[in-house]
Amino acid sequence: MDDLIELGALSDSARRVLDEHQNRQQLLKDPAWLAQSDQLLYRTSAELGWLGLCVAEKAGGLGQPFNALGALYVELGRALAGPSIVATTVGLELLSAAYADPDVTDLIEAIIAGDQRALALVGGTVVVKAQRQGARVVLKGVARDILGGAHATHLLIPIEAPNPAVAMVRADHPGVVIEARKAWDQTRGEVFDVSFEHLELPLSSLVLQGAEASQALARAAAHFDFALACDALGGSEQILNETLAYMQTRTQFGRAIASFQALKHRCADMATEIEVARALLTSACRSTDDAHAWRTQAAACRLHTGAVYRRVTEDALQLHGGIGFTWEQSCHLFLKRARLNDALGGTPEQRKDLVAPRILAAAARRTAHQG
Amino acid sequence: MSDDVRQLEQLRMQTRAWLEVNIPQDWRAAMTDTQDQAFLQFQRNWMQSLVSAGLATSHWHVGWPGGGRSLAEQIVIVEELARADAPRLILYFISLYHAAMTLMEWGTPEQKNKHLPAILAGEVWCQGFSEPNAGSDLASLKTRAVRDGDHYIVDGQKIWSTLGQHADYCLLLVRTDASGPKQAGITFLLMDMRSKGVEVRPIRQITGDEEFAEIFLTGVRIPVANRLGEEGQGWRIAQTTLNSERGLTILELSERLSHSRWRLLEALGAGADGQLADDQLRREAVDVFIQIDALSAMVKDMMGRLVEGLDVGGTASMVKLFYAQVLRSFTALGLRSQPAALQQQPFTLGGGHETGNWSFDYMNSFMWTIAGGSNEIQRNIISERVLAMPREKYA
Repeated sequence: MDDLIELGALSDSARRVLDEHQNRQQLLKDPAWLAQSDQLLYRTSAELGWLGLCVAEKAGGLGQPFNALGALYVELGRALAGPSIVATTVGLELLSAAYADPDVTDLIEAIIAGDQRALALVGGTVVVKAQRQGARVVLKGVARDILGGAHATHLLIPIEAPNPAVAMVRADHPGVVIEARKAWDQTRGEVFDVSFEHLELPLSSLVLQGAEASQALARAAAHFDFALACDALGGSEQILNETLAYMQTRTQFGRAIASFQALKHRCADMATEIEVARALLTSACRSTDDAHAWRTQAAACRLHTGAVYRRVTEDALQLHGGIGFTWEQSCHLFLKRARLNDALGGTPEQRKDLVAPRILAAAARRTAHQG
Repeated sequence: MSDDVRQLEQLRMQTRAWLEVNIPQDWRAAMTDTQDQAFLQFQRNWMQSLVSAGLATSHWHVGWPGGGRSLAEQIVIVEELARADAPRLILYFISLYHAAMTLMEWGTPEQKNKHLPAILAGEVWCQGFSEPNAGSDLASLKTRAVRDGDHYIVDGQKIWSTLGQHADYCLLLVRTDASGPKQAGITFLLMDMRSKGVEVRPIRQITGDEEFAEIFLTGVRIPVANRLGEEGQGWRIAQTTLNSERGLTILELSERLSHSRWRLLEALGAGADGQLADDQLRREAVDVFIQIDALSAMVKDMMGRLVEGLDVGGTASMVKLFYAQVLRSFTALGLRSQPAALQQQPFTLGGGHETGNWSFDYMNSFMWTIAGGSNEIQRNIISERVLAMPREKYA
C-alpha cells in the first residue's frame, strides 16, 4: 500500500484544527452555537480532504485503510465534535460500494467536496419493509435515533435479507419525513427520526443489491460501531486528562487531592482501562478480515470501549467533586455523550446478544492438544 | 516475505512440530491427584526434553546451549508452548530465568561456570527476597549477614520462596549494612540450600497445594566467593533478577488464557451449537472473551515495542494489573456456573491457571492479584510513573 498517511501526523493536524474550532464556553452556554460550529467544521473537513480519506481511489477518494479515519474519529471524540463528519463518512462507506454506477460516482465526488450529503440510515433502530411491484419497489420504514441528519441531501436506506439491497432517495423526496429531537447530549444536539409510509421508487434507486449490498451494509454497520468506539476512546482520554489536571490544582486538607492514594488508584484504573481499550481498538481497526468478521470485531470494540467511556465519565465527574455537578464544568458533556453513544441502535445488552454467537463460536475453538 | 519473517515462520513450524511429538501424552491427567515425587520427576524429564531441543534457554546469552535467540524468536517459542498446552516448567522457572540471567549479567566467570551448567543439568533454584515484614516494601528486608573472615554469617527469615522446599540453591538478599539508606545496605548472595542452619517449611496455600516455602536461616555460613557483585550492590542486582523475563511470562499467560476460553464455555454449559441459554451468564462470558482479546492485543503491542528496543514505561504494570483482573473474572465466572466445583476435587500440579478445576483456578487467581507486585502497588506505579501524580511519602 503506497502513500499511506502517517497516522501520528494526521492525529496531530486534526487535533490542531479541532482545537481552533472548539469552544467549550459557547457549547455550554449557547444551544445554537453547536449547529453553526458543526457546519464550519464540516466545511473545513471537506477542504482538508478528510471526508474521502477511506473512499477507494477508483471511487474518487484517498484510498486509505480504515485506521486513518479511526485516528480522526479519536480526535473528534476528544474534541466533542458535532455529528456531521461521521454521518457523512459512514454514508460514504455504504455509497462507495456502488461506485460502478456513474451517477453514484458523481455524487460521491460532490459529497467529498462537501456539496452534497448522503445520510445512511444505520446505527439507529431501523425497520424497513420492501416490496417489489413490477418495475418498482415500495418501501415502508422507520429509522430512529440517527445522528447527523441536518443538511442531508440524500438518504441511503438499508433493506435486509431475504433480498438485501440499499436504496437511495433524495432527502426531500415526497413521503419522506425527517424529524429532529433535542438530545441531552448537547455535543450532538439532535437525534433524527426518518420515516416513510409508502415510497414508490424505480428499481434503479437500488444502488446495491444481493451479496454486494449485504457486504456493504455489514461494512457500514462496522464502520459506525468503530466510529463510536474511537469516539469513546478519544473522549475517555480527554476527560481523564482534564480530571488529572483538576486534581493537581484542587487542594484540600493541605494538599492536592491528586496526592490521596485512593484517588490515585482510581485514576490508575481509568488509565489502564483506556490503554486496554486502545490496544483492542487499534488491533481491530487494522484488521482486514471479511466484512462479517469485521462487523463482529467492531461490535465487540464498541461494547468494550463504550463501557469504559461510561465508567470513566462517571468517575471523572465524581473526582471533580461539587464542581463536577455544575452545568459550567465540562464533565457532564462527556457523561451525556457516553450515554447517547451507548443507546444508539439498541442497548448494550441487545447488541451483546447479537454478537454473542460469533464470539462464543470463536471461544469454542481448541488447539490439537487440548481437551 | 523478508528473511527475518521467513526465519521466524520456520522456527514456529519447527517448534510446533517438535511439540506435537514430544509433549507427554495426557500429562494433565498424570499430574492430577498425584504426589510430589511424581511431579518432581515429571518436571525433571520435561526440562531435560526441552533443554535437549534447545527450547528451554532461548533467552540465555549467546554462547550458552539454546541461547542467543532474539526476543522475536523467544516470543515465537513461548507462543507455541502456550498453543500446544505444554506443561509449565514451574520447578525450573527461577533457575532458568532469575538465576541464569542474574548470573550472566553479574556473575564472575567462576560463578557462571559453576552454576550455569548445573542449571542446565537440572539444578533447582529459589528466590530468597521477601520476608514476613518485607513484601511490597522489599527494601526494608532485615535478614542480616555479618562478615566473618571469608564467610558471611546469615540470620533471618525469607518467605514466599517459590518451590523452595525442592531447591538446591537460593538467590538470597541480605542486609550487610543497617546504618544508611535501606537499599544501599543490601547484598546479593548465592546460598547452598543444604548448608547447616537452613530450615525450609512449605506454605500450604488456600488451594491446598504447596507452591511456596518459608526459609529460616540460623547462623548460616555463606562463602564470600558466593557473593554477586559488591557489598551494597544487592538492590541494583535484584532489579536484574526481577526484570529477567521481559514480558515473556505475561505473554505466555495471556496466550494460555486465550487458548482456554473453550473451558469456560464448557463450564457454562454451552449447547452443541455453543449457545448459552442464560442471558446473564452469556453476556458476562461475552465480556470476558472480549477482555481476553483486549489483553492479547495489549500484550502483543507491548512485546512488539520491546522487540523494537523501545521503552514500554508503565505499560508492564497496566498489563499485569489487567491480566490479574481478567483471570479473576474468568475463573469466578467458571466457578459461579459450576456449583459442583465447590466439592473438593483433585487438582493438577503445574497445570497453570486454567485447569478446569474451577474452585482451584479461582482461588489460585489470588496469586496474580497479590504476588509479583500486588494490584495496589501496580496502581501506585501507574499513577506515579504514567500519570505523574504525586508520589507516596514513605518513611
